[in-house]
Amino acid sequence: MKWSKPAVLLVGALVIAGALAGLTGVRTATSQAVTLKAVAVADKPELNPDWATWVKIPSVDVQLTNQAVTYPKGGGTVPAVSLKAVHHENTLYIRASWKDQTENVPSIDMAAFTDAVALEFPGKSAVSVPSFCMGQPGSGVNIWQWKADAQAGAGSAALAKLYPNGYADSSGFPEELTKAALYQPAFGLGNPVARTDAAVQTLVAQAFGTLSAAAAQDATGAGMWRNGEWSVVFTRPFSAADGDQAEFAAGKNTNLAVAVWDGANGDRAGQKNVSQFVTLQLSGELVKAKSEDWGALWFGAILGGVLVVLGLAALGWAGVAGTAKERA
Amino acid sequence: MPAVHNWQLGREMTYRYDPAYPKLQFAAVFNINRCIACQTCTMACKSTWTLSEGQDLMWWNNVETKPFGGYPRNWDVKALKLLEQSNPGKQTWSGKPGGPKDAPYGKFDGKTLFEAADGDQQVVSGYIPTDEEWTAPNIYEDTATAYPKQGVSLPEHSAWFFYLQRLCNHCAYPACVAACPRNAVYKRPEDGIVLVDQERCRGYRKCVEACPYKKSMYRPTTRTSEKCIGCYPRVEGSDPATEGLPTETRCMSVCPGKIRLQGLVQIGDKGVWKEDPKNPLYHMVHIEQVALPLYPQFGTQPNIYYIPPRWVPRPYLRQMFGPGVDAAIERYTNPSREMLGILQLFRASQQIVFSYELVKGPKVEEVVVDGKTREIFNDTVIGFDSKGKEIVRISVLEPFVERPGYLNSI
Repeated sequence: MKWSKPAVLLVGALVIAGALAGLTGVRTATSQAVTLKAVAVADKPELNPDWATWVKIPSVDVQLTNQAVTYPKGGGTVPAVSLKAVHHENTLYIRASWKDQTENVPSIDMAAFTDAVALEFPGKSAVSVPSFCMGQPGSGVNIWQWKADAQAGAGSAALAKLYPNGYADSSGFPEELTKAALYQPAFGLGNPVARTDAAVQTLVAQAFGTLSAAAAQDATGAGMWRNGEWSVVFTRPFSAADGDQAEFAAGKNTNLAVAVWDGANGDRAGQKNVSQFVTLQLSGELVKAKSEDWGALWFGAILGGVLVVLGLAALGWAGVAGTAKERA
Repeated sequence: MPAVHNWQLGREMTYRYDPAYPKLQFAAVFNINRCIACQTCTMACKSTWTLSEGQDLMWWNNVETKPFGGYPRNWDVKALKLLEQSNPGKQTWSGKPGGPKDAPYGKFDGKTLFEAADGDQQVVSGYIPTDEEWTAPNIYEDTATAYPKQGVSLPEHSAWFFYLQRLCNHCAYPACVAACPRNAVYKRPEDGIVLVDQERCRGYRKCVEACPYKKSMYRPTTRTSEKCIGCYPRVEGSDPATEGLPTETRCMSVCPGKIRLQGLVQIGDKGVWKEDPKNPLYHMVHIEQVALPLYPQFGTQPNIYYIPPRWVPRPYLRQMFGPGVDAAIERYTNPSREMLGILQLFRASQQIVFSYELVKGPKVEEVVVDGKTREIFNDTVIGFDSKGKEIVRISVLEPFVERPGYLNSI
């Protein structure tokens, strides 16, 4: 059987991709009985989806469905989100990534919506495990929501950039006045959606329609869109400044649900892609001491290496054959 | 979904919430016949409430030119189209106008915007206008419908346009309240004014999408939606300029054309106005039925009432104000003594007139209108505030004062 050069190249690429998949430990969840392990890392993670150590951390895929429980129903364009988690010095870091062909970061467009992602945890004061559907009275949830438009600092700055010669009657007023409740009420009243200095809002809820700003806005995050994929990192210390928020501890399990909004689909509010609760397991050990995971990684690395060599050999053979053919 | 009574439609309809009515309801009557589109109302509102960054495309009050103008562009055509698509050919009325106050215009047999919605993604059928549609609020102004070779004459002009003055209708069944998934929009029990809580709003724009009149608007600098606040500090008398008395809004009180009269009407069972014949708004809306709601078929039971323009082709007006148009124009053209007296109250006071009294005067003139002889009496109308104190006294005939002669010193 003679293989053409493009076919050999394709097989080689697939072999390399397979090896990389083995290395990064991606596995697809078939149900919501998923456990996301947050391993302890020695180096302080960066608030950056491209932080070098993330490639060494195993990920889990969590399936998402359209939100079909309450008004406004919607979503359905993002089938899954990939999660990774680490912790370092009593601080939790979670990285979420998902496929999205369009980067929707509206600045001042009144009919456009932003891409966004949120993580949901049981609140510390919850008397039982809350419903993943925004919690219930007495058992609330803590939500960290990252929004692309908030990260881009939309708002006044975007307006000034788009319309450099624009003028409002309040333009000459001092900033402390224009940002006051009188002229920008949402900002003046401390509504977190009006903030332009934070990409992540820390929220609490105890039922549908009760989502409110947490007393302490202490979750932070950063995201980036590249080649049809969003990657967003969230972080927050294990203990929050207020009791309605989630509490984490090394060696303990809690729950985590994810929601993704696709701006191009008009997603906002309940119009979103949602998961059920999955288990978030915070290990007590450092990443280097995780023999089980490292065994899998080494296996993947050795297998990958072998396959890469095979692939390259195949490419070399194809090249030699091609050269020989040209000579003939 | 709960059922509520919509008296403007003469029937029950579905709404997202159980009925809950304010004690008093913000309401107004606009006399379209008198408007000159000077936009003084528009600028009074703009310079009071929406002068800041991010509110550039926001006009809580606007005056647009019908039939081609609209802010945002084609807002009413689009809402009507949504209804027509959902219920083709069946958006009709039955019965007759002139009925009791829980069904004064007969019965609407079509679908409201609440009934046309899917209930999943929308509880009110609607759409979000684009930035382009919010710009140029007066595009197509003064565009005539035809260029007849001869002039035009009443009762209907063949070339026509008219000005439509618009603000939030502070509806009895607000689409914005129904649409907000987190109760950030609410209707005040004391005066029926509808507000967006700027602390709770998360900028989902469900209210912008739902409001058929498009009076909920998104502010990109704070990422929240804002709307007409009915100048509530003036209406409740908490603004220092009101000296504690319920006062008309900025847009109402500045009107040079004297087309606007604002009030607070009492609401009774099933959201129907309480019997209050000495309230000038009650008299115009329920006794004379001379002022009609804007697009009652939307189903929100809006609270700005319009005296329709006399010269406009009736089918257009019936679509816009319902089946009561013909009788309303007839009663406006040949007003009763009470009606002529009430018309004098328009813009006679900045304070809200809660009741009026007519003191009969002598017959002063006979005029012929549309072939009918009409008698004019110089009656005097007196307006009273919420406590029954007289705030205005004005006669039908403008007082004639002859100034004594004098020598010009220059």
